[in-house]
Amino acid sequence: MAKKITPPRAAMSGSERPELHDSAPEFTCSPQTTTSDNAQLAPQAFGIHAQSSRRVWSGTIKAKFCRRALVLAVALLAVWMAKLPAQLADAEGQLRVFAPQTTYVVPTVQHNGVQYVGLLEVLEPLGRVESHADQQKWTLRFTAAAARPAEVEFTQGQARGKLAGSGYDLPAEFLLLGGRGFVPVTALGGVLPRLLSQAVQLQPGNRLLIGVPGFSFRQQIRQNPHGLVLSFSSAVNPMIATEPGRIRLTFTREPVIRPPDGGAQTFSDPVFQSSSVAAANGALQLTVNVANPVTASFSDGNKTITLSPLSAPQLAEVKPPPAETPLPAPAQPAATAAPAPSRRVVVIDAAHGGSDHGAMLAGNVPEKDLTLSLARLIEHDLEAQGVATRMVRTGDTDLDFEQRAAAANSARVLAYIAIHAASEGRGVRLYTALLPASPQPPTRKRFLAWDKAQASWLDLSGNLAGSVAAELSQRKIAVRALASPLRPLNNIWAPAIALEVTPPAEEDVRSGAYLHTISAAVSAGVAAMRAKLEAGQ
Amino acid sequence: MISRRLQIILAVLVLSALALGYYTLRLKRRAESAQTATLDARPMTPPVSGAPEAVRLFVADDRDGSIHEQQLSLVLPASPSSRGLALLRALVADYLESTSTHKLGDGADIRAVYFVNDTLAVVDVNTEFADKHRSGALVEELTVASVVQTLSAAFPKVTQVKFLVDGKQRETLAGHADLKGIYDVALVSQVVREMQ
Repeated sequence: MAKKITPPRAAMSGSERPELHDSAPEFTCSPQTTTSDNAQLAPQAFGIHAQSSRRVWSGTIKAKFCRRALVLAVALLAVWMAKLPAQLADAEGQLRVFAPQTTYVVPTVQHNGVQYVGLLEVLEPLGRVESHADQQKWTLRFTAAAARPAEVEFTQGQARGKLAGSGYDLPAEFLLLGGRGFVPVTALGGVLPRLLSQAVQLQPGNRLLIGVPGFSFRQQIRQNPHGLVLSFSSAVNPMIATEPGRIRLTFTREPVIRPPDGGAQTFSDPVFQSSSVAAANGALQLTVNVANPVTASFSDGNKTITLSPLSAPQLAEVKPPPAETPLPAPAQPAATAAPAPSRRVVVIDAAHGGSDHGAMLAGNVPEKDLTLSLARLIEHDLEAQGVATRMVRTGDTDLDFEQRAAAANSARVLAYIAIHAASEGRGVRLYTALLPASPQPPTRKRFLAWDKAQASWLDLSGNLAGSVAAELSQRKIAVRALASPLRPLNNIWAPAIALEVTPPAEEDVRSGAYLHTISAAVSAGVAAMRAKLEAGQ
Repeated sequence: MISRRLQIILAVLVLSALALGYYTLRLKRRAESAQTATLDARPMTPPVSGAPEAVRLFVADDRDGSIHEQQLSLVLPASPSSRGLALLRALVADYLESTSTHKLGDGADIRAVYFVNDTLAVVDVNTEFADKHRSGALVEELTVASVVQTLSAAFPKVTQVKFLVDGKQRETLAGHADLKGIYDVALVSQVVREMQ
């Protein structure tokens, strides 16, 4: 039964008087009710009816709580939104590893403000790695070439662990996520030397140098001919981009290190005003602020880059500079004359991974490991040719076919290359999708049949396979092209091929020289088809 | 009192009896294991009567990644499903031979063959067929192509073939060849021609 309470007039005026009912909602947030009103109302109401007054008190406290919670929620939302871009940036973080045998990228994750990296993913390209997660405990066994195995043992949430037989303290707690062990990026400088027995340097900007010396450089103004000379200790091949008032050189393939003085310089020169060095996300960037447009030229076996002001006739030819003008090949002298950049990427899919080992190859090597190694080589070779790439997986992760296809289709994909390996047969087998060719040219429709997405691209896929086959044949590698029901070729909405690498005659399929040759042939085949692929998009 | 000589004879007899017993037991076990080994793991087709028919099997060869046509005389049942089953079991039996050029895993079998509207054939293989299949893009394609081509050669109206594993849909045969989709017989025949 509903009980009615009339609040005193002193507390409420006319139309603002609320009516409280037992059956009324217990928790309401009314913007008309002020805290002071409630404060006056409550003691008097208490004298009228104790039970009802408790409700009034309760309502007052809840109203206060409601407003404060609302304010707090809005504040939290604002803080979260302010931090969102930074969090997104962190989520896309990466560590670039420079080792004598290869250069590769490992994704990083953010946890409690600390950047973490998967230890297995870092070590995988450097030797044989086995890891095992048992509830909270994670163990890893690493064997480098011609070295004794070393073991690592850490426990989820604890900084203290075991490393190569002795205790070791990480700078932050160890993370075990989905069976994968993560250590702080800053710990790598201490952890890796004990496992690899090599010098390891963690450079600013998440660049890890393992057993390789950093490339130093110096900057010097030259008067005759006028220019800024950048001298490097080893050959370099940076991406060069110009924009009004500055030229940027980005080093991702070489372990160029920041000079001890930080690299920032101010020049007393009418053209070259100042320079600065920044390192982030695995890349080092040198920015030179200029008063006039400049060109970049390479000399001394790519050890020297000279930035020179454009002459008057050259200036007359220069159109308004594009936003980004990368120089993929060092031989091209003028940054302003470089071809327009392609933002499309070649998606490289190392087949299998995680619990899916694929075939067992000679030496008990799972197919998933070899495909990842070859994918990394192809990634490196394609980028060296100025072709942007994206790896579907960079570590030992489980991905189903739909995820692989979705990863490719969601990128601005120039071409898709899946990598497989087998013990039987000789040379390389190239596959295209086993689908009837669609008479329709590839056009964006509202909906596409997932299982036949590749149909419109079969011609270009065949051309791409032919180009790669020609490069492989030139390098005397046996090659065979076939249509195949290999997944997920049918689901790719772009030119798509798959390689199946088998051993060369009387050699191991894992032979480094063999894989390098295949990688070079594949990247050359893709590069040769680049213009046609871009035209076909 | 028993003489020393009798004691020795008795001991020798007891020892001989034990040795003979052990030897008999070993002979028995050996015979049992030999009998098990000779059991035929190949799939059995129901006995049928009638005149043998010439059939074509498309047999894969891993050595050069090819598919070759083989002529065979088989007594086949009358109903299409049973005929298809008998035909594919003959193909699988060939792959289970120790001398096969395209070995399938032990216990591999075809569970059933169904026809939908005469144009779509559904081939239901058992779990061992897929689980024990070697992993590899080509080796899996050879299996799929040889089954599809053998079936379509015997049933010319069939234009599509669908695979099931133990009555259920499966993503791939052994990590590579698609088993989710439906195979177009014309396309597979083209691939087989290139492989021959």
